[in-house]
Amino acid sequence: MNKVNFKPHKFLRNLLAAILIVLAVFPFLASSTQAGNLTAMSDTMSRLKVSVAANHLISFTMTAGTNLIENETITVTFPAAFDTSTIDCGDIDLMDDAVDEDLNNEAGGCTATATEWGAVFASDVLTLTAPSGASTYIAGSSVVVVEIGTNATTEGTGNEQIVNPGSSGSNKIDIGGTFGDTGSMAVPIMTEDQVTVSATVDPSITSSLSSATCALGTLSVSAINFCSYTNTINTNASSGYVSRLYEDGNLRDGANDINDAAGDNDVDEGSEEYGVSSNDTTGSQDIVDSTGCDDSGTTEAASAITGSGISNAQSYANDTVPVSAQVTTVCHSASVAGTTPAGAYQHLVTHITTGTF
Amino acid sequence: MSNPARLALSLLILTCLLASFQGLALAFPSSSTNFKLEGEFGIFGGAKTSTNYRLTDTGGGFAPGFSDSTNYRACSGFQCVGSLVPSITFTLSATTINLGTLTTGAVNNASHTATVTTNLGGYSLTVVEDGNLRDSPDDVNDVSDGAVTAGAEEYGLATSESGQAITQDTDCPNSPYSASGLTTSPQTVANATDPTSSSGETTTLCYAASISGLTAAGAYQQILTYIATGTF
Repeated sequence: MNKVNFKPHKFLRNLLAAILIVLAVFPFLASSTQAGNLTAMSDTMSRLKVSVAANHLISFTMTAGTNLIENETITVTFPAAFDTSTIDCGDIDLMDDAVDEDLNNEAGGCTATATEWGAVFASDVLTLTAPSGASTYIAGSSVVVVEIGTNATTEGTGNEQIVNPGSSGSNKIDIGGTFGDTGSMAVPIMTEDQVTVSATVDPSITSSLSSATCALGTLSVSAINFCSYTNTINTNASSGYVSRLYEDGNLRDGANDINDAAGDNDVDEGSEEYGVSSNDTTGSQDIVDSTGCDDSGTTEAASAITGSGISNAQSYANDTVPVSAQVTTVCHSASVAGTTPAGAYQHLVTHITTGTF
Repeated sequence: MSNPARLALSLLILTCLLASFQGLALAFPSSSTNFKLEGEFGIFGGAKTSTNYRLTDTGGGFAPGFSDSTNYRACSGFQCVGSLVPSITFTLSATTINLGTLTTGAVNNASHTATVTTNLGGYSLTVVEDGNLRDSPDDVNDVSDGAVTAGAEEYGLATSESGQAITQDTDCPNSPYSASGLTTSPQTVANATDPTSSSGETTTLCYAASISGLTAAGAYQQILTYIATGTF
């Protein structure tokens, strides 16, 4: 029987040597298989609804120790439920730390060249291939952004989008490629991603006359007599309103009447004339504008009231937008000649205000 | 035992130890041209997929399953491999919001919820409008002073979450009617930096509107698009 001659110092020496050898060699063995895990991975889509087309904005951060060099690839693998069949390199942008990378375009064949990235979509896998010219194209810790769809605007705007799956649920998207890092993320697809908000504003309009009578007093040849009242309008009609008036006949006393103001649109002192004006100076109305309505001169702007019945009503105020408490002053004025028969004259003027909603 | 034998034995032991530690990081995931193995813990087990099949299996396990409380979340057992597959779901409790007939004497409001569930990361929930609440060419003005007030032409949205682009209102149906104007650029209404509970994180979204006497009559409408994005 052989006696085992155990020598502790030799064992420790050998163990130390073994540790040094393993520590020296193992990192190389390990690095040949270890892939870095991407971080901050996200895919911001423009629509999440089933079966609709959507843009994708994919973002991820590379590990610190990974440098993407020439000819290496980044792959983005979508589930087969997405329809990526229409996507080409014109619909793709690639950014490294917010700086656009130069992608080959459709005219150039979409594949990588010595100076341009390739971007090819096949079987739901987007492969981005770095240029063949020797260089580090994306350094470690970089934030990489891939835009797919009409949100790709570098060197032209994309015109196709990926179509979402036809059923709702979580869908995993994988990122990989020969550059070494890998990762997975997910996007939610849902039956409906939109909310329709509605509200109603009921139509409204009010018209209020300040007085239902307008007494011109005793007319004379040496004055122009006046009376006035206001019409106050409130309406939410989107195209505003128009106020009109019409008479039941001339200002009269039986068979006698006061002549309507002549075509010169005023009442002259000492002339048998009667008419009406309004202070709405905006817009174009049938009734003449006047801001006076006082006995300050020998003439007063006034139009004859010629309309009898609603179909012949004459406009005197209007607006084209909703109004709140818009006040229009209506001014009646008259004078007489020496031949105007004595009498108590009267007529009815009807006001109609119409909103345009 | 000879010295070379001892050296070889030491190398073997150390290599196995290091390989076992490294294996913890490398065991998930692995793949080849034809398959991807989501997990390979224990004797056998994991989620395996190819073009034509999808399979999850386990070979043993002790007290498997999810458990959580206010302060912790735990996942035990081989099938927790499945939970390592990133997942996010998003649901809206309603896709129509009718604010009714607006008047100058009140603030009308209505709400719905949005629920996001993620397992491996946080999320961000944004809203984008397709234009103002409108009956073209008229619209209801966006609220600009932080709250919708009766008698003023104002419309906006509030969220139950704090720290968002859209203002917070945790007492939706009641005054004050805090709200932010909506835009055609994404505005956050909710977010989280960590995975949600298994039942998800629910946000209440509250709409409020009022009008002035000058607000044009009409049937107003707008479409809002909600987008949930997971960050893994």
